[in-house]
Amino acid sequence: MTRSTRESFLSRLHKPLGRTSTITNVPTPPEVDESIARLVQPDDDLFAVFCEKAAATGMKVHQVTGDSLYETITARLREENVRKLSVSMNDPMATESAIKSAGFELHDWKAVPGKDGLDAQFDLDAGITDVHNAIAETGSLICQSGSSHTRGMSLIVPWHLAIVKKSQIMPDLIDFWNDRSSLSPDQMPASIAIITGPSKTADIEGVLITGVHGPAMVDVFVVEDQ
Amino acid sequence: MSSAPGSQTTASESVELTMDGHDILFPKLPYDMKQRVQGATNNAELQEFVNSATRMRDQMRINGCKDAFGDNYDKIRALAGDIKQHTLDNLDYYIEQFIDNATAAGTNVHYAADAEEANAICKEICQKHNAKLVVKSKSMVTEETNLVHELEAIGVETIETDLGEYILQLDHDAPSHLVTPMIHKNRASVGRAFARELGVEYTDDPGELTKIARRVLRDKYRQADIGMSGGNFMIADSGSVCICTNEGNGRLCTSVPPVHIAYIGIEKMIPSRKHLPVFLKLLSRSAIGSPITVYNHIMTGPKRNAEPDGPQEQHIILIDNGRTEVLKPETREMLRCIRCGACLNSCPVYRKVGGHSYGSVYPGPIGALLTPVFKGLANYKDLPYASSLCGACYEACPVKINIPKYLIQLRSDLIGGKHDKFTDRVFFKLWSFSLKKAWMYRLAGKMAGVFLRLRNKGVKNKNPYLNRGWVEKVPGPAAGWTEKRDLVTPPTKDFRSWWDEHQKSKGGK
Ligand code: SF4
Repeated sequence: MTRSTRESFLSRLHKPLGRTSTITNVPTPPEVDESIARLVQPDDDLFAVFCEKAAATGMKVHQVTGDSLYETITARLREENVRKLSVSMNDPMATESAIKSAGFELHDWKAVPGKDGLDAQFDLDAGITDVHNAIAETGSLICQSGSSHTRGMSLIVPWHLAIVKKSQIMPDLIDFWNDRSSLSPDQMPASIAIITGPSKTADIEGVLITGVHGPAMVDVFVVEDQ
Repeated sequence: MSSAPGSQTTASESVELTMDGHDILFPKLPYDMKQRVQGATNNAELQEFVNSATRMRDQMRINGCKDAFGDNYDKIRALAGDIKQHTLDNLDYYIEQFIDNATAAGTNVHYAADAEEANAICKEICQKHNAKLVVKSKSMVTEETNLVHELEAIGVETIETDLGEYILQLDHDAPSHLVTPMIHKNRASVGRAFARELGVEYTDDPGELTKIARRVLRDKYRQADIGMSGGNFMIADSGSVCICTNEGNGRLCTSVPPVHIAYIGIEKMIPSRKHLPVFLKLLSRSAIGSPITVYNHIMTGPKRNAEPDGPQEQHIILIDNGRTEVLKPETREMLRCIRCGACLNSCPVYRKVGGHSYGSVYPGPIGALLTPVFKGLANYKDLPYASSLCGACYEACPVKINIPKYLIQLRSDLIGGKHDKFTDRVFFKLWSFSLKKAWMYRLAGKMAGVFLRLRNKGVKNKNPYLNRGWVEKVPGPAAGWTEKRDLVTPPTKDFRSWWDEHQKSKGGK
């Protein structure tokens, strides 16, 4: 069998499009009309909208200040009988020391990179992350891959705890994608996850179950003064 | 299909007793719908599940979309439709742009003209990595190419990880809905399949069953050599692929194993990242009424050097498999489909006959369009008629595909623009003639009444409104009406005469 090449594959497209080669003029796609597609305005109360929408997805939302953040987190960890957890964020020092001094076992995911590192995360009870942004419209968390960000901490662990600064909340999904639109392909992170609630399924007779493959619980700590 | 002795027949089993999952989606051609439709309509359980689940989801869609978009609901569907149509009109340009950008991000892009080529590429990648185990998330195009069977045939264990698809795979069954693939099965059949195939104790509690599946599949993610996915959207201006799953299996399949292969039909393209939110806002609302899918995973290339984890290799297999045939101007609009399943949920025919009756990978109204075009109209003559043309699908479709219009087009293609029977032709001639003048219409109505009363088969029903008797058979093109049900004999006095007299008796004109 002769294999398709880029050229032979494209020529399959040219015929039904009624041409013999790819158009050279850059086509102008329809604009995203914001009067139709935008659901949250920049001057809305983003903090309030985010908290409301995030709670509606089944995430537990905690409104905290910079001072009460770690106390609230460790109290929740105790409540759920967590033993071993890990932290993945830009500046993990303060969070890690709060966890350790509260007596929890801290797993250092950076010590085992790559697939083995992810493998070890299957045995954790919880993971704490920051976020790259949050979206008021849907109550979503944006978690990107990066040098300080393992993919597992918002995915493999049964419980994901996310710290959101008020200043990171964007009004609408439209704003997030406008913001990321100028990055070249190699500047894009390999993975952007838009996370909206705990893992869910309704496959068996439409009965809603949380916690299939991804985290069954998501707690969001929204820091009001940051 | 082996089932435990003494077990009741499951919904899917009684539809077709002799089939495994493969035959359900790939029946003998030309395909005759009747047998499966009969199986489905005689199956009370299936009728109940499918009917209640689709009605519920249809209502959730309406509520979710009206809540979010209000009076703009129709406009945002038009916008999404326009964006998709524009992309298809310039698909060569956007595919080239996508290939360049994905390659720049480090992705290997492959080209597959048909199912055979797609699977050959996939098998080569598996063999290169000496893969023993593949975990995959839900993808309709892998159903099209029958990928799982082909990988298993070369000794690569391939596991579906979407809960519904996993259950279907265990039970040798096939999906019957685009979004909720096991809509036709009940919890008891899942419990039996788990007990039989996994050796666990029988339970039919959905929460327990989910836990069992979670436990089994978590190990599989860890052991898998390759993760496979489909793609909900390809983004031309960044070379990214977006997959949307509520369970998180899609993200696990594309994050944990060292190699990721994405199977994607060429029609999944959108021009830019700026267009993505329009579709993310519509997809989940149209499917199940929720504002957004739980996990939207946008992947651009394999793991970067500085990143600690993620697949080291990413392959995207661009798949034609009949799509360039649909891309011709007359049918191009059909390729806008984002597989939300809303047209299935809203369809009175789908609710009755279930997904397997459509005899192909794509069920429901959109399947009734795509399958005949993909696989030949002569092979699927029944499908264009598997619709009441009520227009509910068109109203529900987030990209405004005019499904009824194309179904009528297919019907007319089937009969070559002509009715083939002489009696039909005479009937339609007379009918159209009778519609020309009001008096002719009334006369024709009276004559039809007289004719039907002559065929009266007597009283069957105690209901005083229906005690005029029944007509069991009428000839000509109306025969179809009475094939499955009887027609009430028309009263001697028609509505118009009754109305005139009624008005007179009240002193009106
Ligand atoms: S045809 Fe429209 S409604 Fe049906 S699955 Fe496709 S996008 Fe959804």
